[in-house]
Amino acid sequence: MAIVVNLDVMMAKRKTSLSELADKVGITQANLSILKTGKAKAVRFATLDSICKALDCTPGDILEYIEIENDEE
Amino acid sequence: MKKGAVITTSAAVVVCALILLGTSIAAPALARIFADFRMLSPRVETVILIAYYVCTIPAFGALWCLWRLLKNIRMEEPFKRENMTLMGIVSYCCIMVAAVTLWAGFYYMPMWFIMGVMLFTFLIVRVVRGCFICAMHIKEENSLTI
Repeated sequence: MAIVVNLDVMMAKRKTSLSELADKVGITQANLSILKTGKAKAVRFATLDSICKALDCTPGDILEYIEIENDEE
Repeated sequence: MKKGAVITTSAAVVVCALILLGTSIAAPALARIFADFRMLSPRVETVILIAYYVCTIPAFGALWCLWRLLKNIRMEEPFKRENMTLMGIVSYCCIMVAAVTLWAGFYYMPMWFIMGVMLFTFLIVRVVRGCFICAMHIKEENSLTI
């Protein structure tokens, strides 16, 4: 997927651990870990809203689009 | 699927298995009675008996798979990968019976009716399996929606 999740970068900047962020956001550590490692298929706006509030950032700080070069092009 | 329906269906599978076992034991006698009633030749009687015994193997296989499938549904895991495999096996069992009845039909034509039914059942099971595979993918995607 071309969407990269930079949650770990933001967590390091805010010096927040996974368990702390999970408590603040209201989701399980397991789910947060799935998001952090880029295995998530989709994120709800409500979850993104909670994460941005908890880390005092914008969605663009967490989600990044990296264009994948297509061999056919 | 409601719990009562699952239990009823599981009981039906057990009953079918018992009937199959009983007819397997009584098959030679039943074949003789049928052949006498329909005035069939000994050759046709033998073909029917062989076809029946060969078909009991995929029949028991299909019943076993259905039992496992219902067990997974009772455990509230209908969209497990194992269930897709089990449904695939059930469909192949139907095709095996269709193949055997195709051969037997050359000796006793009404067997082709069973072949037709089995082919139709094969199609239904494959389509239902396809639906379950889609549902499984949707469920996996939902599980990975944070």
